[in-house]
Amino acid sequence: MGILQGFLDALVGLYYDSGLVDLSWKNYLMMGVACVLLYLAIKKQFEPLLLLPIAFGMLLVNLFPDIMASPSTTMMPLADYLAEHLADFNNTPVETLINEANLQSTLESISYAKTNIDGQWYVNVPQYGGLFYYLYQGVKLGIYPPLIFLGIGCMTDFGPLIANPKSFILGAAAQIGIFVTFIVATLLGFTNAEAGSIGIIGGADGPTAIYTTTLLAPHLLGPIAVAAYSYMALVPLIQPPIMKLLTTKKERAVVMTQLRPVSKLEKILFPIIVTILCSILLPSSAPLVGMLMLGNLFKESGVVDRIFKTAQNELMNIITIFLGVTVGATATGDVFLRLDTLKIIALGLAAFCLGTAFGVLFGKLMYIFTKGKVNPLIGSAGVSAVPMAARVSNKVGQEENPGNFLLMHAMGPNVAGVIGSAVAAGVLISILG
Amino acid sequence: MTTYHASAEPNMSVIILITGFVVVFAVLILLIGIIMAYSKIVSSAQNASQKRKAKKQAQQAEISSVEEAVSEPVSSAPASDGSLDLQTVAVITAAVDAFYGDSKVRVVGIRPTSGSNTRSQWATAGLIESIPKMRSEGLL
Repeated sequence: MGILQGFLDALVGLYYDSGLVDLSWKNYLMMGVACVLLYLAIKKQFEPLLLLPIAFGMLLVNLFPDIMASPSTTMMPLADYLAEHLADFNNTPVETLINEANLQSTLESISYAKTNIDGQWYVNVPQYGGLFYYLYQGVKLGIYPPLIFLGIGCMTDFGPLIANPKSFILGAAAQIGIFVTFIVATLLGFTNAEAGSIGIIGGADGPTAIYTTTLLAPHLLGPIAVAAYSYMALVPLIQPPIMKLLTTKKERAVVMTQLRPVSKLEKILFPIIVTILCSILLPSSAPLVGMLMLGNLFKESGVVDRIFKTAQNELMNIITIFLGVTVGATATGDVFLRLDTLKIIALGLAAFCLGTAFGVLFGKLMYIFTKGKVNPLIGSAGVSAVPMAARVSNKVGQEENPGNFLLMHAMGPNVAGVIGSAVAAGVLISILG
Repeated sequence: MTTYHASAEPNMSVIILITGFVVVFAVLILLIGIIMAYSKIVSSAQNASQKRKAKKQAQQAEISSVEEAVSEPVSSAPASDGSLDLQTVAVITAAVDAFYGDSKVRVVGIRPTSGSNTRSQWATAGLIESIPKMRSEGLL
């Protein structure tokens, strides 16, 4: 009978410990969202390297919210603490340990902080944080984004941009969405700093969005990071309708002339010059632009093969895993399903769409000024999201003309967009930080 | 979560909008100018160095062709069977003709001597020095 009772008690205890009791409908709804994102990542392959860890982090945190719990201290009455740790005191009875003669020496032998409230002693027992809490510190302290930029720099070929520097215009145009969204966000009641962090989603650059938000509005980091990365992953869904809406069939079918070859010396000088210029004019953009260009210099110099390979493979992959799961883990039901978060998601989408639209519209201007030599579709690639946005430009172009290869032409605005969004972030941080 | 409030300074938002817009474009346009400028400088420097290289190569090619021309007779040494090739015969005939001037001398045969030259270098030098004298005295 006693065994059966013990068994039932254990089952009841397990039930109360399980998520079936603690989780709310919000958690279940977010689990559904996570499963949809997992489907998009695995079945549709929308940026799976990002979306899969984000979605799984989201799923995990809604199943077990304590995985993101921050460290804390519990104030435990001294007698209770001693009862739990009798072995540390040679099994001396608690009454003996806390009597007037031994109290002082007992308190001194406890390594944790002690508090006396109304003559009653408490021990401040530390509770360690969840796994993702510690991994998340790299996001919170702004460490991961510049490291991700280092890896991106290693993987980026700035050749198309150097061959056609006018692409910078398209990279700048796509950042207009950031500033227009900023105004809309302030009108919706967000502070300037919050609005700046929301607007930067329009840069379609996850690391930049995280870095900016960390400095301007850290309390919005979760929703902004999830929105930025989700939209980056959903580039193939979001951009094509806007691109088609703003261009004619004739414009989309434009075949661009081949780019000139770029010498090695030009490629080596590029990261050095960009770093010097951006860091002097906008010092707050130095961590992002500097790491991006350092990675690129690793690649182009050709003399640091080992660290170049590490930065673009192992380091980048590790940081991507940590960043992905922890960003996803910020999307708990309680935090995410709020009106403010929904506003941020909507504004982020607007910023992204506006960035795409302004890029395409400037592409159209270049089409007119060059008398039809520039395909406006490459303008949409100005919203960073390397290289997905360039791939989308290429794909939409090939739908009109299967023999048209716009990829290299779109890579110019695409990498210009990375620099452009980092510069825009620098402007916002300088003014609002 | 934070409590949102309307921006205290609406003008500030517009200032940020304009500043951001202008600065982003200004920095990127500046980059366009710098990239164009340094691309030109690099390509002109590389063109100049290529031209120098090409010129040097042309000079080297000229020198080597001359060297080849000079070294060719040397390389066309007597064949191992003792006969001489036509170029060597022509050079020796021309040298003999130049040495004897208008005199009715005809080269009727050239035959490699067997073994090494037995005349010492000093004796050869003496012979060469005495040739003009012998010619003036009508001995040659």
